[in-house]
Amino acid sequence: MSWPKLPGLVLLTILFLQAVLWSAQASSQIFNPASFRLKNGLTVIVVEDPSLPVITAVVAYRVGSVHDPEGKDGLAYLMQNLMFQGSENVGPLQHINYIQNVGGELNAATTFDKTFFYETVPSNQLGLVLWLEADRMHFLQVTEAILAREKENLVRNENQRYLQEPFSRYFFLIDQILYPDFRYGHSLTGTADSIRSISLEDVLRFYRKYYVPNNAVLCLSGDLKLARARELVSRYFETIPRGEEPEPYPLPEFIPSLSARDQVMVDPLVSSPALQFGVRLESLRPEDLLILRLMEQALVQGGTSRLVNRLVKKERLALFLSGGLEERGQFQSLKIFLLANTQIMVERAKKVLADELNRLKTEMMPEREFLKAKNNHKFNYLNQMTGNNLSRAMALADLYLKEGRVPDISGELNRLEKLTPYSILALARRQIREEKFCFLTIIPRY
Amino acid sequence: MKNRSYNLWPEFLAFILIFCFISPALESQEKFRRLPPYPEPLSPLLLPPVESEVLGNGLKLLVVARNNNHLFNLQVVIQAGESDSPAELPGLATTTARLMLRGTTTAGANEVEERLAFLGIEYSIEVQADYTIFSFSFLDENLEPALALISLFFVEPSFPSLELAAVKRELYYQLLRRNQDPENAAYDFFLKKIFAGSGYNPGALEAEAIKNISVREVNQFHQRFLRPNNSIIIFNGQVSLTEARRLVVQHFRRWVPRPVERPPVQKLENRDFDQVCFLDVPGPEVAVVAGNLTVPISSPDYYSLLVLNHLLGGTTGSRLFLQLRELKGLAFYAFSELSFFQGNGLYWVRTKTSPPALGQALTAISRTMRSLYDERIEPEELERAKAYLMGNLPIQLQSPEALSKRIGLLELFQLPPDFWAKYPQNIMLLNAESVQLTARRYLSTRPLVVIAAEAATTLDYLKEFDKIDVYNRKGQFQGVLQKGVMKYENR
Repeated sequence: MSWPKLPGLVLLTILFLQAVLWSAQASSQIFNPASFRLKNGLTVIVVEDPSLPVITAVVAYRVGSVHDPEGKDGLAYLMQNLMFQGSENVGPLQHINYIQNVGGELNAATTFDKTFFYETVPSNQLGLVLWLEADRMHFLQVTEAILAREKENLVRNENQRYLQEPFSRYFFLIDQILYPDFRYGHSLTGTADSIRSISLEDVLRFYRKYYVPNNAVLCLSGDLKLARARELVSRYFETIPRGEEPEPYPLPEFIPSLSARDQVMVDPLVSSPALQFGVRLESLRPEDLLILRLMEQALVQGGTSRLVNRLVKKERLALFLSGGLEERGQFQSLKIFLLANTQIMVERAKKVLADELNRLKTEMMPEREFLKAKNNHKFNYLNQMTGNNLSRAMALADLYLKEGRVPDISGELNRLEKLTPYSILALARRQIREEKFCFLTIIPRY
Repeated sequence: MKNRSYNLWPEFLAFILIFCFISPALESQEKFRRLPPYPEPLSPLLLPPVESEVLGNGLKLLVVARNNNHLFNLQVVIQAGESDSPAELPGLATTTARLMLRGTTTAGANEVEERLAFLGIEYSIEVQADYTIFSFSFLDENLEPALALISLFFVEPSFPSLELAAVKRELYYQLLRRNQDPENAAYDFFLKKIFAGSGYNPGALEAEAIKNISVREVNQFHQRFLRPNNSIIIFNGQVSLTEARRLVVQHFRRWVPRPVERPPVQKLENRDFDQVCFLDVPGPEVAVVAGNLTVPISSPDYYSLLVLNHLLGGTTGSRLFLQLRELKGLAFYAFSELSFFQGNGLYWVRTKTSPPALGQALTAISRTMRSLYDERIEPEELERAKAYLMGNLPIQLQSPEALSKRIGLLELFQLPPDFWAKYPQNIMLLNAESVQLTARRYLSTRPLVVIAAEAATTLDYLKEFDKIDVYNRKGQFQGVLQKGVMKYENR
């Protein structure tokens, strides 16, 4: 080493150290969720965010419509409502009153494979939320009378929804085409007959099997300390007995490959022609999911996306278009819904849809379009993770149940940075197959 | 002795059996599970500090420095809204605001849309009676290019006529859809009626009037009101005042100030409304909106009004919901709301019911309102309402957008900077007497009642009423229904 080179080396070293420091600072600004597990198998994720005296608790169970027993479609969805109907120490609907009386907000959601219960309350009410959630995790009380009432409410609400939104049932019909078996293809909300056939014994068996600590994750986010959270969680949840080991994720009974379907339905309740499109994506690797999100952004998210741009703005074949990715176990599907003025427009829209999907595997996405998709995905991801306690806790609980591990936020952002337009091209070449496209055209009866 | 011993065995066995059954239950039900835990001490509500500065062109800059968020929220708040639209052109303020993001003198509508999307900017435009808020959220790493684009909307909007036609069409159909819901139709009609004759438009739009808006009027509105000296820009994110000032000066210095004149708002008093209006809106549902004037947000009565509103109809645990839906089954829902305007305020009850239950629902609303000023308010109920309000405020402030908006409202309504920080203690100070006094002041006068429903299926159920003014779906007066007899207006 000669002396004259030393100042340059020192400068380089300083710059390198500074870069490392900046990068460490940047990643330290992303919160790091802490986690622990109780002896009964309940996983707990905690994010400390003292910016406001508020906390959100999300209890998510690994149970959804895929777990409905055959002929009992809608049971998981019905259970969501029954969980508010009282437990050993909390009267019917008192759960809601307890939360509202302290200024809190609450709700629940059921998906294909998960059920979420969540509350946001002033941070001094952490104990209250945990007390309530623990009570319904172990001591739910359902009577014949409560069950009968809730079943009828569900049937009535679904009938009303269909009358108000006649297209809603086609969202389930395209699922039946994409997933031709009971578990994967039946509707979340069930049918009037299937709901009415659910007995108290069905409910209790389902509750004992799935609403157990070893099949759940509790995520807490907000103005709280990990030590105190651990203490309170242990107090209310530790003695809840472990349930049966959750069965493996239900596998579909259909043959994964699927030939194209093109169906037409006539409905007197709809006022204009519409198209439901779906394509099932399978044999996905874990790293494919992020690339799929970028593909979804470029294709269908926002007014400048490829499909909206071409079908709604340029060729004016659709009056309205929406869609996106949907996950079902090991599968993802891309679903598109559009409204048109005439059946001819629907037929032309089908060709454009196929054309745009095929273009993903024949043309490299321009760099600017790719950056746009990345910018939007990064914004959505960070908005979910930092926007407010509820969105963060929901996202963490959802990712935990999906991936079986506490999400690594910085890691996800780093992975995003490494993707290139070629990542999309390569995935599209593996996944987009025209012979798997499914179409369901809905025509009004004039 | 033998016999006795023989008789005891079953009892002993029964005891053992009962013990065996009970003991697991006793074990599973720990004592602490029986009652909800006591709350821990509530942490104080500490909002991030806000720094401010007025720039050379009169634009007020507010900076809310937040470090734990990789997102940036930028809001431009204009002190002008629908109350500034000419009386014959309601909707001009909304149209102007929407058109501002549809093209500038250097970038066409498509380019603007593409640049917004490229930077991942999520935006919203809110036009109220007294103000307009443009809110933009994006990654903080995109602050510079985002600001360069956003500033163009204010500094050099172009208002292309093709885009105006598109904005008008969207707004027109949006208003038609809005008024298909009888509750929206009732509320808009209620607003117009309650401010009638004051010269103040509280923000009710009319679909047909939208068609008359031209580029010239939009330009004039922009020139008159969308001036930097009539605006506030709020930076919420990882930025210092110095840096924010540099950026605003760099990008907004070409925004030219002009004197802005807004007529003073007439203060309207709570009064006895001897009027029930029926608005003919097709559909099976019946919506009722009933309310009266109160005071502006700056009034000392604001906090007791909040508590009063919560007791009356703030949530599903409040009196209206319990009475009308849970106890009597008269309505699908029943709530009450507060609305605040420059110089005035309103309370209003809203409910959705069915034609046969309408009469009883109206009576129940009236009784429930009366109960608040006639009967003692139980301490437990009062404390619950106060706890709700104190606990709910920080939940409402969680997102950067919501926090920026609340901070902007302090400026718009000339409220003290510590208004939200002191909110919990001001609620805490209230007692049953002060709330009841407020109830007497504002609820004891007869409210203006608007019923929106289909006349053909509903008027028959209103035969008991002495006088109801009937309007068609366009809001034109048709006649008076007196004791079930319709007397049409002479034409």
